Amino acid sequence: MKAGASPVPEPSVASGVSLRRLDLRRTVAQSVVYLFVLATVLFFLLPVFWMASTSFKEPKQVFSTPPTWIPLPPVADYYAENLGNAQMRGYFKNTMIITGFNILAAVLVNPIVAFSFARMRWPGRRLFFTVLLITIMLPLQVTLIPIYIIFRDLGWLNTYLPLIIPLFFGNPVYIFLIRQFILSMPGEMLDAGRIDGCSNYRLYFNLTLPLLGAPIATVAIFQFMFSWNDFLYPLVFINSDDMKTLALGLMDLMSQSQFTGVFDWGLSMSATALALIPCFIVYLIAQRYFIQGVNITQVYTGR
Amino acid sequence: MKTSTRERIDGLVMAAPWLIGFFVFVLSPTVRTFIFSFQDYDIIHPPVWVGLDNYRRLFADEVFGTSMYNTAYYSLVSVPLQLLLALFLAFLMARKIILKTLITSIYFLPSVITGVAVALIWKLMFQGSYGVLNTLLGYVGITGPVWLDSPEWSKVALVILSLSRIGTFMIIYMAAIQGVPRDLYDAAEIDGAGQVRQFTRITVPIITPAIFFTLIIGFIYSFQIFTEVMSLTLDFVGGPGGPARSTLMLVVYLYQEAFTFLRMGYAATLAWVLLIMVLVLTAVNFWLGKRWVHYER
Repeated sequence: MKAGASPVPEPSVASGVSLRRLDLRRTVAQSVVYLFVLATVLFFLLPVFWMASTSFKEPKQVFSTPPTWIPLPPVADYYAENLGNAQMRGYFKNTMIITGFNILAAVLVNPIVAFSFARMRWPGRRLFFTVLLITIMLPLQVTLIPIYIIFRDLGWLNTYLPLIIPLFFGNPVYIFLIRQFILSMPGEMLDAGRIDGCSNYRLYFNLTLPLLGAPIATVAIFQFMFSWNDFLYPLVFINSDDMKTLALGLMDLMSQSQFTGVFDWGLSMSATALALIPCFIVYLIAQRYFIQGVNITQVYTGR
Repeated sequence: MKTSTRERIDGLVMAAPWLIGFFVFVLSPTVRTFIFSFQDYDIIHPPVWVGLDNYRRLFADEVFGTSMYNTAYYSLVSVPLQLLLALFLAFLMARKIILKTLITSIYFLPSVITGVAVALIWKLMFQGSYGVLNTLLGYVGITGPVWLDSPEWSKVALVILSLSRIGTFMIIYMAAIQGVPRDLYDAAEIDGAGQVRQFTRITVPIITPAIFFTLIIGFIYSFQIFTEVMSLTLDFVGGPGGPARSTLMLVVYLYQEAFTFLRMGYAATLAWVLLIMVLVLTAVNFWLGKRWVHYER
C-alpha cells in the first residue's frame, strides 16, 4: 500500500466560488497544516534529538540551565566509556544471540503454520483459528507465573533458553499476518500441483514458501524490534549480570544511581543511543514492511 | 474436492508447533494461573489451598484499589487522547504535503522503537529542574511541574509518553481513509463543505469501525502498561510505581506481588482480574467486529 495518494480532492472549479478567494483560503489552510505538521514532527523527534545531544555532552553540560542544546565541540567520552566496558559488550552479545535465534524461529515456524491454516483442511481448523485470534489479545502476565515455574523446574533460569525456546512454537500475530498473505495469493497453482501429485510438503516448500518473501521480511523485522527491546521476559527469567540483555543493562545503570545519588545521564544516554542504533538502521531500511504489517494485522505488538 | 486423510495428517503436522505451544504455553498456564488464584504459593513451599481468600483480600486491599484507580485513570485519559492525536495526524497526512513519506516515518518511529531505552530518554526529558520539557515550557512562560517526582503529575507524564506512540493507530486510520469513496468528497465539495467539515462529517463517520477497533486495542494495551512505569520509576524510594504509589499500575503491582514478594497466589488473582478486563473488551470487539470489520482487502 502506498501512502502517497491524497483522498481529499482538489477544490473543484465548478463549485462557483471565485478562483482567487479559493486560492487565498487554500494558502491559509495549507500554512496552518504545515504549522501543525512542524510542531508535531518536532514533538516526535525531540526524544531522539535529546538523547543524541546529551550523549555527546560534557558532564557539566548535562545539568546546565539554560540547557546546552547542541554540545560544541561534541565529546565522545561517554561512548568510549560504554564501548570499553566489558559488561556493556556482554549485554550486546546476549541481546544479539537471543534476537538472532528469535528471528530464526519466527521465520522458520510461522510460515508453515500459516500455510496449514490457509490451505490445508484438517479437523478443528476453524475452531483453532478462532482460538488463535483470541490468544493475540491474551496478556503475557496471565501465563507468566506458571511459565516461570516450568522454566525454573527445568533449570533454565539465567540461560538463553526461556527467551528462545518458546519462539519455536509460533506467534499468533505472525501466523495471522502470513495466513492473510497466503489467502490473497491465487490458489490455482496449488491445485495444479495437487493434480501433478505433489505432496503437501512440496506444495508448501516448492510452491508457496518461495513467494512469501514480503510477509517473512515483515515478521523478521517485527521480531527483531520486539526481541531487541523486550523487557518483561528477560526481567523475570534473567538475573545474573553476565546473562542480562541490553534492556536490563540500561535499567541497571539507572538503579545503580539509587546508591550513588547522582545519575550519570550522559553515560546512560550514550548507552541508550548504542542500544537504539540497530533499531534506527532497521527502521530506515525496512519501514515499509512495518507499515504493511500494521495494515494487514491492524496490530503492532511492539509495545 | 474431498479432503484426504493425507491432507488432514499433513495439515495437523504443519500446524503442530503452534498447537503444541498453545497447550503448553497458553492453555495449561492459564488454567494453572486460575488454580493458583485459590492457593497460597511462595514458589519454595508447596502450594496451600486457601479457597476464596485471595479474592476476599482483593476487595479489602487498598493497594489493589489504588492500582486499579491508576490503571483506569491512565487508560481513560490516554486512550481517547491517543485516538484524537492519531486521527488529527491522519487528517494532516490525507492532504497534499511535501515530504509526506518522511513525515509519516517520523510519526511512526516511536511506535516501532519502544521499551526501556526510549522510556529512559523520557525520564531525562521529564526532569524537573534541568529537563528539556520544562525548558520548552519556560520559553512560553509556563513553570513546568516536577512531573515524575510529583504524585499529581506522574500519571500525566505517562500519558504524554503514550501520545508519542500513536503511529500504529495513525497508519490504521490512513489506510481506512484511503478506502473512503472519493465521490462523497466531490459531492460535499459541490455543496460547499470545507475540508474540516468534510473530515468530521464524511471521513470520521465512515472510518468508525477503525476508530472503534483502535479504541478497544488501545484499552487492552493501556491496561497492561508496565515497561514505561518500571523504566521511569524503578529508582524511586519505595520501588517502582512511585511517587506515593501514583504510578502503581495493575501489572506493576502484579509483578511486585509475584516476583518481589513471592506471593504467587495473590499475583495469579491479579492476573485473572486483568484477563477478565481484556476478555470483556475482546468479546465486545468480536461481537461488533462481526458486523463492522472486514479483513479481506
